[in-house]
Amino acid sequence: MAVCDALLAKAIEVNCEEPIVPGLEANGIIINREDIDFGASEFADNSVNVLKSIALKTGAKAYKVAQAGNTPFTGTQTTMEAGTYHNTFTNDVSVVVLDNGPEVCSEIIDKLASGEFVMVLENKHKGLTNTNKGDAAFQIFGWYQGLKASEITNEKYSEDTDGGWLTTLEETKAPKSGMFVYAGSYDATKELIDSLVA
Amino acid sequence: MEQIQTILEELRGLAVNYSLTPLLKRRIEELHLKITGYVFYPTRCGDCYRDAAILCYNTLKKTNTMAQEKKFLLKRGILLQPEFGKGKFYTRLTLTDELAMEYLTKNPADVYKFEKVDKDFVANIGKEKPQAAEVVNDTPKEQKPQEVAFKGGKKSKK
Repeated sequence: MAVCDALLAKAIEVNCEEPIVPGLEANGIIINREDIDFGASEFADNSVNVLKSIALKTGAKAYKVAQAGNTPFTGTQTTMEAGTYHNTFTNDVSVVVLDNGPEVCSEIIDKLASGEFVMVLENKHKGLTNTNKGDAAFQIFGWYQGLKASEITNEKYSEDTDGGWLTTLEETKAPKSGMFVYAGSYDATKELIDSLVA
Repeated sequence: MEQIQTILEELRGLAVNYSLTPLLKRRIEELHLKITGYVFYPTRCGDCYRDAAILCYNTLKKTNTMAQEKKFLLKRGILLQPEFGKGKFYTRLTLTDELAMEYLTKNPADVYKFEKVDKDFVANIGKEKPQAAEVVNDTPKEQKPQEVAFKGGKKSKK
């Protein structure tokens, strides 16, 4: 059994070369957690917070999630939860479904309500001046515990959704503050993400 | 050739059809797979099926052949970088059968990264090596090992 240390390993500084910018890009992907081939997925050699591949089982695919507006996936956040023996993180991802109807309800909303998912979203802050150029771009949510719906609402006179669906997916007790996907370069990672939905 | 012309005509009709029935949509999905080699996944965009028909039409007109089924297919989300340090990488969309065979010959343990493989090729990866060695060592088999052994023995004594 290993001794898990909690020693700070890097100075806390302001990134002057590439100042952090808020927000997420409008397009992400969602995967049914059951479809992930954990045996073929791999962590990066030098970081436990980075996956270098997310393999899917035979025949399975990921789905695109497109958002509209100036603040896509608004409400997405990570918060720490204090625990008895160790602290964990809760990830919340908000997804707006700007549509409604029998197909939307049966194939999207009902599935979101009872399924378990993993999402990959692209940060606007990409870390292009990092040693591993672009390794901060693609962040993964739900890898450890899966994202489950914590709130789904359809307010007919909503000013924000215009009668569409507002869903919040939540992952609780994640042991890591952030998980990223990085395949050696930004372009390679983008190709990898694209191959998940192809 | 006639068959391709027929399909082109059919696609042209589908591309301008503004009231596609579920049956016609399934036909577009089927043709998309046959022509491009990839499964068509519709988005919620109203024109996506007609766009797919146009894409198929243009592809078929350009290539004049249906897509050949790949013998090797990577799992989704796997990225192969055959040579470390080089910028070339391949996903299931870009990996050709030839590259897959070359990669698997060098890295037979990575077969788990593939969703589909040519089983005969994979079964023969290890077996090919001794055959190749025999062809390269074309010199008389009995003399060469003796010579090497003799030289090696002499050097070690000194």
